[in-house]
Amino acid sequence: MRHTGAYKIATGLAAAMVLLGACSSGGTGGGGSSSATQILRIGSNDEIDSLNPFVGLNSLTYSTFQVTYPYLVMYDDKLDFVPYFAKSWSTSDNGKKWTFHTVPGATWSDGQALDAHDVAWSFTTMVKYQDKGAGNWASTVSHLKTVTATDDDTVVFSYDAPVANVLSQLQQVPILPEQFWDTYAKTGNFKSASMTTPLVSGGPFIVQSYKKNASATLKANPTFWGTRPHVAGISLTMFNDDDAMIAALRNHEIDLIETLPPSGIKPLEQAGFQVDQAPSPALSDFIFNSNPKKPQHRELLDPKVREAFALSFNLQEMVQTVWLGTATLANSIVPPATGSWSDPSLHAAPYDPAKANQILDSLGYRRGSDGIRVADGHRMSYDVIMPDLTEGDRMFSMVQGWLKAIGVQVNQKKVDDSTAFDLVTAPDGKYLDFDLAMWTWGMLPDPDFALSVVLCSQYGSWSDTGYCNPAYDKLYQEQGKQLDAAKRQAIVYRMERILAHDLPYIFLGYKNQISAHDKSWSGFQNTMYGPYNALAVTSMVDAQRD
Amino acid sequence: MKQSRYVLRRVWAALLTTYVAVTFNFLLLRLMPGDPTSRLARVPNGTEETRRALVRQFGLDQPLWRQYLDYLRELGHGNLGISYTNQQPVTSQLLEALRTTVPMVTLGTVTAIVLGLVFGVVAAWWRGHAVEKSSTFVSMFFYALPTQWLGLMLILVFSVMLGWLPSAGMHDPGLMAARDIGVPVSSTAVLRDTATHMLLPSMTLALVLFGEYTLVVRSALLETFGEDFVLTARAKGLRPRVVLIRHALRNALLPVVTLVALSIGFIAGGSILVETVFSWPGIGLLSYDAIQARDYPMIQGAFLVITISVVFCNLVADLLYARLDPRITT
Repeated sequence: MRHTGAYKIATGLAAAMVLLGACSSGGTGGGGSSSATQILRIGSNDEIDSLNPFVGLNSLTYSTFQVTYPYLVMYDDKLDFVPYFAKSWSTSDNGKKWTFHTVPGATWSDGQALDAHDVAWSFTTMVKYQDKGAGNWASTVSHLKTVTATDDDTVVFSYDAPVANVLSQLQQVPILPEQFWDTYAKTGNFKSASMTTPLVSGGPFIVQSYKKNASATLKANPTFWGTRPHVAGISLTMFNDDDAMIAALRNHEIDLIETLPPSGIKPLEQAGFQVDQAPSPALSDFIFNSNPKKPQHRELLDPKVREAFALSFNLQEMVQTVWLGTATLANSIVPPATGSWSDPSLHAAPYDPAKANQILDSLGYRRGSDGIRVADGHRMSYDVIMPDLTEGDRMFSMVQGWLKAIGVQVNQKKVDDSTAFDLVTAPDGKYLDFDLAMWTWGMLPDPDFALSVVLCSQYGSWSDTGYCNPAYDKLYQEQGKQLDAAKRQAIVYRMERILAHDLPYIFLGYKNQISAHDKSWSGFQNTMYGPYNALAVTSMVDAQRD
Repeated sequence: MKQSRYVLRRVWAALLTTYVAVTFNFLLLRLMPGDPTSRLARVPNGTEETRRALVRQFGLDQPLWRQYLDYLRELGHGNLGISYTNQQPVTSQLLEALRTTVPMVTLGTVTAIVLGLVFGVVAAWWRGHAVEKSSTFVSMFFYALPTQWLGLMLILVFSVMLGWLPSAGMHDPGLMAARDIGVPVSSTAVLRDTATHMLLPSMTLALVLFGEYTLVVRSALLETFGEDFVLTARAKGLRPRVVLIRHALRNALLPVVTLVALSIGFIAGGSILVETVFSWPGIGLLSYDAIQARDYPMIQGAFLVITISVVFCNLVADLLYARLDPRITT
């Protein structure tokens, strides 16, 4: 690579500017040359928002916890639970007592013993502070009463009721080093912890450095008790622009993009990179305000009107146009990517605008001179609340065109996520003001979370529909206690069918998870959350340059 | 006496402006729809209990006037608070972001000023010639381009097609990771690496900014060319270059001083668009994220830094102006 004089001058000037910054920050040390051949360089368009497990919320954060903390169990490629820090486990007949046998002789990266007592301490702390400082783990310890280490390698979980998804809950929770967190556990003020790197680790990697909005370095943990990774470290670079991230892969500045937009597939394949796709639980949806008390535009509560809307949507066209074929038609709030929990008998409504028009005609909603129908004395013209979605504009313009064809006008009300939440729940969490919205969900492998977002109790919280159906809520409680998987599946299917009938959502599509990597690397497992994920450590342990 | 009264007046106005800006920042954020706990509601593991606890912890359940007084009191003690998003002190995060932003934006701004001076002088000197037209056209062309689009085009050319420069970030991921995990890496290598990463964002900023300087310098110079003292200098038989540099340009730089001072003031604010396209983890990106998350302490802190920087640079410009042209103090 040859550089011109101008290049040298420019680099010199830039170097002078860097020196200015470096002088004020104390500069960087080190000497000699570098060798980075065994470092896996990952690019992500997500961000690690905090290294503190009591604060972080983003998915990249959880994926980083996955490879730096021990977890009792993890998922395999079929989404079955497999042993991790727990070698084996058993449950009592009534499902209220779970016993786990942990890996003996393990240590944390600081040399201290890592055993069943750490498991008991972590979960006991989360139960104790679930309404305060450990609030973000509250949903994973529901019904958990006590956790006791009966010896160094055995820990017993006691629940006050049978819980259908115990392993799914435990798979999400990192086991934390008591020696670091003990001070904070005295007050429950975990959020103020200073997460100075390197952090104490009990997983295959140690967080060695972290810079907000920029990067993190993970170093292979030399004291890891499980299968050691092939690589010496992982470099995570956080990109704010997808095109720059794709350019970085093409330029061999990074080795792996963990989530690639559909538009990047063709250029990267043509440039000789490996692109992988997997069905994901990312669900895009069109939302009706389903609160029966909403005072305005009450025609939108009518299931027939909702059916007409659904029939007017050409979802196959949306899949091809918006997601370039990298999505599948959606049929349920529980995505098929989660395994057998999605009811296969449910199908997206067929594209039939003629029938949609017929339904609206039969309801007496005649078209005005401008082609827009009139319902109960007012034009069928509504605002659609749109948070900042990746393909939001294209999705909305298609929906707008389809609805116009059946005499319904929709206007985009584009706002940021916080504002969208406020508009949807207004006033004061009562869901009285909004008519329609479009949003997305990222579901978990177990159906419990997906099913919970339309509960009456989720008003002002996860609910974005204002939907409340006591019969549905009763079934939710039942499935949560049903230990027989087949019986639980039957209840889950019934709940999905209730939603398919009531239509608080029209499901638009399940986006595929797309990742891309340099072909000199192998060992990646492209799961529903990509190769760098919060399901298992397999990909990062197996990854190696050939 | 007149001069010192003028200085006092300007300092007083600067302090008042800062106070008003601080108050506006506080109020405007709270008038926006959405609040810092809204984003927690749609995230797995974020529960209603978490939300309520956060509202109490952030003091958002207090009346607005009390929040305002608390804010002023803490500000008086130099405490910018704790970020709602990651629960870490705002001051240290702002300083870190400033250290990242200032070198990159300074390089871009200084380059823009130099380019603007050169193009402006060329355009004025060769007025009516093709040189003037092309100089003005090039300046306006870049001035009119959307920043993020220009950034992406530069990435396409210099990173993807030519492979000369990295596309984003502050460092080569492999190099820094190697250093972090204990492989010896020289300071020179790190310095060269950061400088290389800085070039594209800085040049993007320089290209979109220099048009403004070109136009100001050109029009100020053209105005000065018509002044009697320039005519006198020419009549004395001075060489054209001497007339331009010693007489015309020095006097034409007065309006440029204001523009430069303003630009320097905005350096601390970074550039959200440039920092986003190039994933440059500076104060622009920090502010953008903070606004999205309604992270009040972080936004207030970032705006405070920008306000103080702009007000201070304006004050310097006012004082400098008074020195350069004492007539304005009368």
